[in-house]
Amino acid sequence: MMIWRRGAIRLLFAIVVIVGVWLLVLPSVSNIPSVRERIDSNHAAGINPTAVFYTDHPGMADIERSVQSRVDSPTGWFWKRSH
Amino acid sequence: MSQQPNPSDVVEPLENGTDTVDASFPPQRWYRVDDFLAMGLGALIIMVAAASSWATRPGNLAELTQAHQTVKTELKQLDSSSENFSADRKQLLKQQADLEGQMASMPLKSWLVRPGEWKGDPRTAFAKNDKSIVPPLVATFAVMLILFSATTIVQGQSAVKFAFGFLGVFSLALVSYVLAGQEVIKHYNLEYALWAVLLGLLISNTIGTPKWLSAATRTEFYIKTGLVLLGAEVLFNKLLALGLPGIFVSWVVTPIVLVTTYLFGQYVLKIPSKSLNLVISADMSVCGVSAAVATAAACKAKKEELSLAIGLSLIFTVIMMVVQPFIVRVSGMGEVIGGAWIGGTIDSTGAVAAAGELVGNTAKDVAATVKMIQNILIGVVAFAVAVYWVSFVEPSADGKRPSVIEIWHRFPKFTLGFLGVSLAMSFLQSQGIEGKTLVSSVVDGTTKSVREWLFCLAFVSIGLESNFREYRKMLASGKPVILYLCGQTLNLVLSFLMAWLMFEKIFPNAANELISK
Repeated sequence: MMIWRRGAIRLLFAIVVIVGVWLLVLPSVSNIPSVRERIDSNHAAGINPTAVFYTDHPGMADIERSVQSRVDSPTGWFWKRSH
Repeated sequence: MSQQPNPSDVVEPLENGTDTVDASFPPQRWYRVDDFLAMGLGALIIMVAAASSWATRPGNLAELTQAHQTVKTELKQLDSSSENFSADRKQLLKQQADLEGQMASMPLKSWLVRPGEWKGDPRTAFAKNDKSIVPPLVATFAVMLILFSATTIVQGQSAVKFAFGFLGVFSLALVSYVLAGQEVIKHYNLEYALWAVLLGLLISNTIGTPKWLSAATRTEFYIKTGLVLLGAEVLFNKLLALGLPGIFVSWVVTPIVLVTTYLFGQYVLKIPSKSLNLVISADMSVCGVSAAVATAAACKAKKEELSLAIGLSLIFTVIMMVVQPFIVRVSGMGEVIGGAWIGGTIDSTGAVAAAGELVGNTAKDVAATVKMIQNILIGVVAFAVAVYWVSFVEPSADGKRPSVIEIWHRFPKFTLGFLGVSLAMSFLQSQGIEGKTLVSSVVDGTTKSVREWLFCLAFVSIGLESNFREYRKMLASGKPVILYLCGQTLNLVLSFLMAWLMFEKIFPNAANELISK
């Protein structure tokens, strides 16, 4: 019972720290100009930095189409081995 | 069906009371075994997704298909010497995207959701386009509860106990998504996997994981089902997305780095656990979290080994996504070579795109495409690891090399489901625009969301079943970190050399074509 109570106090403390960091510290950090700039730039480019797999990335289909149109260029220029 | 215990179904108790990322139920009938159930459940989800997309396809599908073909032909016939070439291409690409969007029907997409991004008020994570996502979240929970309770019943366990536990595990997964959705955390790539494991660890290492919660900590089953669904996203047709240069950077360098790092870990660092060595080598060389999950399941790694490998990957990704774009810019290596270098080395797709964007638009496109081609490798890697593991690493009872029958018994069968789904969807994808649209509807509309939830549930379960002491023990020698650092250094050098060779020496026009507006 004593050990469980000690554990519960630790858990409670951790929850308070998490709530404090996520609700107070991180929102302030996101207002730092360099951080803000990075977040806004990712938003503007439609980037989801936490995409684990290529299918999780929202702009992947557009990137694929764009790259494919260059690889399949009618001139076959992409594949030519010299300038 | 035989009642004899199948060696692959039996848990091998490991030291310190932890078990492996492998089947964890007592010997049972074949249909009660995790691997087969995961394959069945994965197939069911894919079939329901395909059927719902097909049933709700647009009435004018034939016209849209025709229009798409016309745009595709126009795109191929564009005159690259024309003054309006760039603008025309952009317009046609947009038309193509619009048509594909109209053709792909995703009726289940809005019902399979997860919390979004937020800044200061976490409640905003539960709204999308000013609309509450709470009802769809409840639906997501209900669907998963029904599916997994059904499998619990098939396995002869209590569905009621599972339901109570699942409510707890799902809630922790939800909190992990909310923590990962805070914009600073999200844009510095600290993914949900990290918070899911940490939340689980926090509970298990303070008050201990309650029994009622343990009923739903089915790590292996969530992972295996998630991997079968991931198979639908491993489309081999994407291999040629960047032509031969892409294949060389992704499919030649990556296996070399993977094998070399593993051998380095075995023979130089002498890492005691082969599975830890392999999971770190794969997650560093292939594609981070997804590769770690697939390899860990294939080589039956300990849960702590999987979460340690993911932790290492996330930490180094945060560093690399800031440092690499800086090096590309100051060294003047160019957007194409730089993009290929970033794509071949940074672990996760999102981080690759974000790092590429810091260099330029072309770098972002090349980096993301190289990473996409590398992602496809995980199907082959998981299968190869599974074969290698059961054939050469796991000892047989008499200490001799196992027979073919024994190899088959031990083989993690879910990898066959993973590869089978991948091959089937790749075939479908190759059947013209209709097949491509159906695959995209299934993946984007259903399986991707379910797979993300399953991995998150698995990571929460890992945390709930793990002990901090295990991590301390594994990290005490510093060898996992050294392995990651050495492997990544080799990866950085080889990827750069291959990108330079391909885009500067062998196909110099490819770089020019990619840069052109």
